[in-house]
Amino acid sequence: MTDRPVIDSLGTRCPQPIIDTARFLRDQPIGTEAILLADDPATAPDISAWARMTHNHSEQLEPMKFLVRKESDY
Amino acid sequence: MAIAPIFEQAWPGYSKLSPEARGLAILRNEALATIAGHLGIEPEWLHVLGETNLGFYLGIQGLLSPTQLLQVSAVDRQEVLAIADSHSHSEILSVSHEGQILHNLNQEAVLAWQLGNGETGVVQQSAPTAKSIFVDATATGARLALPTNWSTALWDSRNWAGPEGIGFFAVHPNSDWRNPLPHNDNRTVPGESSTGLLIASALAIDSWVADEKIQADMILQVHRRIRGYISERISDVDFATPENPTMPHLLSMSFLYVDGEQLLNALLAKGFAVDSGSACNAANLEPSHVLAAMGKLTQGNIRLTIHHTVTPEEVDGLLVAIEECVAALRD
Repeated sequence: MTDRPVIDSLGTRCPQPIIDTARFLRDQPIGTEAILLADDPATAPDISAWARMTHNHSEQLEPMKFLVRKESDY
Repeated sequence: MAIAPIFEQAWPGYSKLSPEARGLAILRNEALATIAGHLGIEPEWLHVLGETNLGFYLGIQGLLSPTQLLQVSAVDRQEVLAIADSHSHSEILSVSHEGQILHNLNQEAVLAWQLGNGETGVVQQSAPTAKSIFVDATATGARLALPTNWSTALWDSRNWAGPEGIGFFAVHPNSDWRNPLPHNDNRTVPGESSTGLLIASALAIDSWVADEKIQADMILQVHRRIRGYISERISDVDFATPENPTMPHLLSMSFLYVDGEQLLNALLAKGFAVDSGSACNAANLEPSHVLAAMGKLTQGNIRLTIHHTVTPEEVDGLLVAIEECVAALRD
């Protein structure tokens, strides 16, 4: 695994993981990738919905690990 | 309409042979005929349940043989999903982004068909086919007719503003249904139900149907007004309810970056009682499986029910409250 920045939202409750992701990527250039760590059960559906709504990319790598990529200036 | 005298009259049992009991039996039959008429079925096919949720088990298990495939959908109620979970040969059908069941036709299966969804207001647009079909009409009530090839069906009295604690279960005479509960008689439902609740439910459905004729347009206008206002004034909203609403009294929407429980409480503090499908909601630890199945945002979700009696002032107040609360929570 290359050195993608990690957004550690473990132990936080929805919607915090999504807020953390949005905040982090907002200041980054388009194309930036990061790893989101989150154990809240709403994370999987919501990171996917977030990506759709904000025109970014997300994919689930493991139960609590998600890859996110900035693809728009949302 | 006075409920108390109904209950006083209806207190004695109705299955005995005394004149009072016979009188009650007649009242019950009239109530049942009224309800059956509004639901579009024959009164003889309709049975009263003192425990509505028992109807899911009766309706599905009564059609299902041990090795037969049971098909349910990802948006079905938890009661149905639990039955699928406990059956050895089950399939969960996925849904489209619009909540339409991606029906994978199997002529030998028992299909549990959710005619309408009580969270999102989605109504199934296609006709189901299977060997036997259980129709969950608990969210559609008297609004929609059953699909033509139904085998069993279930309604909830609350759907037409009737009393809680009573449900209605129908068995089509052409179906393969047999009672799945242990029984030594040929009853369809296990016990007796409250005559008072039954009569109250019949009065309610009559009233509801009459109101609906008058109010359907108004409710649609209110729905469109709410959706239009929110789409225009608040960013990052995901609507779960279809744009052309098939059950306009329901509107489900999710706000990005908002805690659903906090939104619920903030609106409550301003005098507006709504529901939420979010996991960030004291009643649930998991997000709404319906929203997740549709690929919709589950956080920051509120579900509105637009009643016959809503006033323009209430709508104005609600819209302002939602706008203010969402802005405050996103800060």
